[in-house]
Amino acid sequence: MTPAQQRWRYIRVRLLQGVLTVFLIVTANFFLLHLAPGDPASVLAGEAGASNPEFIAQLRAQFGLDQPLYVQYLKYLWQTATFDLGYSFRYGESNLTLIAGRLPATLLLMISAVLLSVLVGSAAGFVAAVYHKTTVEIGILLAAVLAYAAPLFWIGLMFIVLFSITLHWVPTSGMATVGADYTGLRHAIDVAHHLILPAVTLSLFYIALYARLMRASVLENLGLNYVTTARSKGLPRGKILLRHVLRNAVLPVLTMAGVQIGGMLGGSVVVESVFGWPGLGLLAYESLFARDLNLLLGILFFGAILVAIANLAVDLAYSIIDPRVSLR
Amino acid sequence: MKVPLASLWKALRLNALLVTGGVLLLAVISLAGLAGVFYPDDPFDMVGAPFRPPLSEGFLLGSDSLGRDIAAGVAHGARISLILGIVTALLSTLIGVLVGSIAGYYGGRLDTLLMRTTELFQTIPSFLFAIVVLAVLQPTIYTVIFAIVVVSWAPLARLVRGEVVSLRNREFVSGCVALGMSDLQIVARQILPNALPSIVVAASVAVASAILFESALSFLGLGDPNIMSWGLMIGMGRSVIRTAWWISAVPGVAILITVLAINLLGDGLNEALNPRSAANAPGR
Repeated sequence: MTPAQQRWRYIRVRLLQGVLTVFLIVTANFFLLHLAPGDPASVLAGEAGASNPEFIAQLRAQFGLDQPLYVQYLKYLWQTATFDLGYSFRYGESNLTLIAGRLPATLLLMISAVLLSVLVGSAAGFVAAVYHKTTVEIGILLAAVLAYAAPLFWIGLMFIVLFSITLHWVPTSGMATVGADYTGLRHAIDVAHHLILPAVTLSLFYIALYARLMRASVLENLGLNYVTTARSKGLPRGKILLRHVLRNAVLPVLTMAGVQIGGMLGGSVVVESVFGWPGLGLLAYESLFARDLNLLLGILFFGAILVAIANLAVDLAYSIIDPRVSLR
Repeated sequence: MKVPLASLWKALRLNALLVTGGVLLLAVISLAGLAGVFYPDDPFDMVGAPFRPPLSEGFLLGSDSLGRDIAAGVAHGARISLILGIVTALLSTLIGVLVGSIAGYYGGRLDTLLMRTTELFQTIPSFLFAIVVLAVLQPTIYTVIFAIVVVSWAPLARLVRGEVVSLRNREFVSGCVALGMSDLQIVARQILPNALPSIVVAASVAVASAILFESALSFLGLGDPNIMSWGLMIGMGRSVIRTAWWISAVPGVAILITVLAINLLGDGLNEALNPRSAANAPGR
């Protein structure tokens, strides 16, 4: 097989895997609804605090509750597959519209956090390895161990106390200054200003993780034959480190970053609800309080799709960066 | 004199990790054990004036917006965090060992099937999934444990499988097969004991992750509402954080110290038990 054919086959396998995960989530959603006391319609309606007969009738029709379980299940699968996620009475909009509207904010936050954690984490780990067995290394490792153990939401709250309430450097919450109606570049700067704290909070744990990983990876690479060869050719240390070691050492960090996108989505629920960042996570938090279960299930469904796509993208990027990686 | 210096550095690091982690964890365990002695009353009881800052009269760590003693909450919260962390880690490890050793020992189609399933569980957005589980079933300590176990057994299964595969074809295992030992005996008595160091380290990491996971859930209001936990305390202090930052700050420090202690112990155990893999593991 040619490399291109191999890549296509691999994409197909990965896509199938992603579809299976999403299928598993939808199935779990369905059975969770049936596990809850009462039938799904009364659970959804009663919990949503809008138990008017019209709504319950609509829900019963949506779930086909008069039919046998397997028919209901197939119906639910079909509806989800066609992105028919139901209607939120609380927001007066279809769940799909609500979720799609919140997606850009979450993507902005997650992409910023991924970039920040990979860049800062690798840089810190690289510096720690270069200054092996000095106070610089101990300092970086100590900071990493602390950041690794602190709960995200607590760090977020403490950041708000310090940087927003005490120092007034950044706003406490939201994505843009309310009532300012900035446009163009001014708007972008305003959003970036609001983004700083949530993005740093979300990435802190991963910065710590990647710093540790990168340090170990650089130290391991320094002992490999190609470094000895480069040194015997008379290359200066700085050049060996930056041109050769850095590139090879960063690969495990990239793999790890790819695996952890799902985890970061979870972190964004907490971080968004702490900072009032209007993304999917905040929507999940709000629907939790409104007991809007149908919306919550829709968000989980979308989250699973998001993670599957991200995993595929990372695998492909990785195979392009490192041609030795054979795609299965 | 390069070699002795390097090994000295290593020994110092190892001891620093084990001692610091051990002392901190012991402190948290004593706090949990003695919570009933120091603070015999329900930590939900209102015992004084609200919004007292730390070190004020009668409140070592201050009081919250309803006049409850934060120190009492922290002490009682230590219990639930430790118990929950240990129980979920044990259950996840049990499932991981079962699935991983069956997949690794028998190989073939069964292995493929089990590992594909494990991969599926690993790509579930775990926190969102746990939120949905707890929102549909009511949050009690049992549903919280269930939700965390569902999303955390998969990495352990992969680890155990890897260990079992690498041990399965070793000579001592072939010897046991030749002796006519049953599969169960071989896996339980011969293979798993050799894989124990890695499993112990991974299980300790699982305890720390479970504590963090639970605190985030109860911060969002998805913990058992009848049990005082650190995440719940932070969540309750959130709305008054402008005026009374300590209500949220103090329980967070408790989480930080506990997780830090377990992580340091895990790192130390890893270096002590897996000296060969130590060079490749993260953070070494």
